[in-house]
Amino acid sequence: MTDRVPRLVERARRGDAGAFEQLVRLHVGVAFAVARSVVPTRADAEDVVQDALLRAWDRLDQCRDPSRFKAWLVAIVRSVALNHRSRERRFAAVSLDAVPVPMDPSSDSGGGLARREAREKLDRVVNELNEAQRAVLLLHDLEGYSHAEIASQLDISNEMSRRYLSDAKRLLRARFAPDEEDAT
Amino acid sequence: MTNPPDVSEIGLSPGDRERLVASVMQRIEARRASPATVLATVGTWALPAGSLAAAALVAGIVAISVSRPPTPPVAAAAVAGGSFEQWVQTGQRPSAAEVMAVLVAEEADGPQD
Repeated sequence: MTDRVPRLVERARRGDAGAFEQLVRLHVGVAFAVARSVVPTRADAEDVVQDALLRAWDRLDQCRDPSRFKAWLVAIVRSVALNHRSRERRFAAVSLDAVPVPMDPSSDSGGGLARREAREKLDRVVNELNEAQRAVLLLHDLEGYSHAEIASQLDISNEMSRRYLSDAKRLLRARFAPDEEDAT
Repeated sequence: MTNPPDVSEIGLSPGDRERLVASVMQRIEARRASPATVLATVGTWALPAGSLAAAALVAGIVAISVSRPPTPPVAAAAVAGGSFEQWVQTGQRPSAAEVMAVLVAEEADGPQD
């Protein structure tokens, strides 16, 4: 993997879209986790990931050290996500999260509704975390990053990474505790 | 003690990943296939170094021909038939080149009436 990424970057720079596709496959998960840690919804995060990957394709020549492609891409994703968030704040008088989404009856079968409600609740609780806690939680639990890798990506210490994860999990536990479930 | 919920629920499923990758690659392919990209590629690779002016000229000519709307079939027929009356009847507005083509044709054929 260490050698593979720089080689793919070099090929992609020469216009090899297949090589770039492999880079996208390798990094789409981390890109999503970083985007979702900044923007409030899954749909926003997917938009950000697409825009960021297109920007990366356009600017591959600016990736000075291909062996650090992931860090370079994460910086682009974060920048696009922050722009997206500030644009949304400027134009959205009402948060989209507050607007009920009409249900598509054909999409629900059996436990689908319960699962979707659980996911929506999880989304809301994750949004209660601060940005750093969210980023650490998503990189750790979604992408399986170690604290050392997270610390390197987010430019924080290992200890801070551990603390953010612990705080995030404490909040999740509290929000999903049986008493809290009854209250919601 | 309650276990925290499974956060992977809000992550990308394998299907989501495929959809996202496909969408990104489609947008990249669409860009690569656009006329501007093709022209830039031709201008950069097909012509020898130092002939940037020629590349710009070729790009300009192709861009004009790409941007100019195709001649409407009726106007083309009118040019072929060489009749101003047809243009008037159909309401088509011929280009200067089309008018010239008809004038030349009429002059060669002599007066119609």
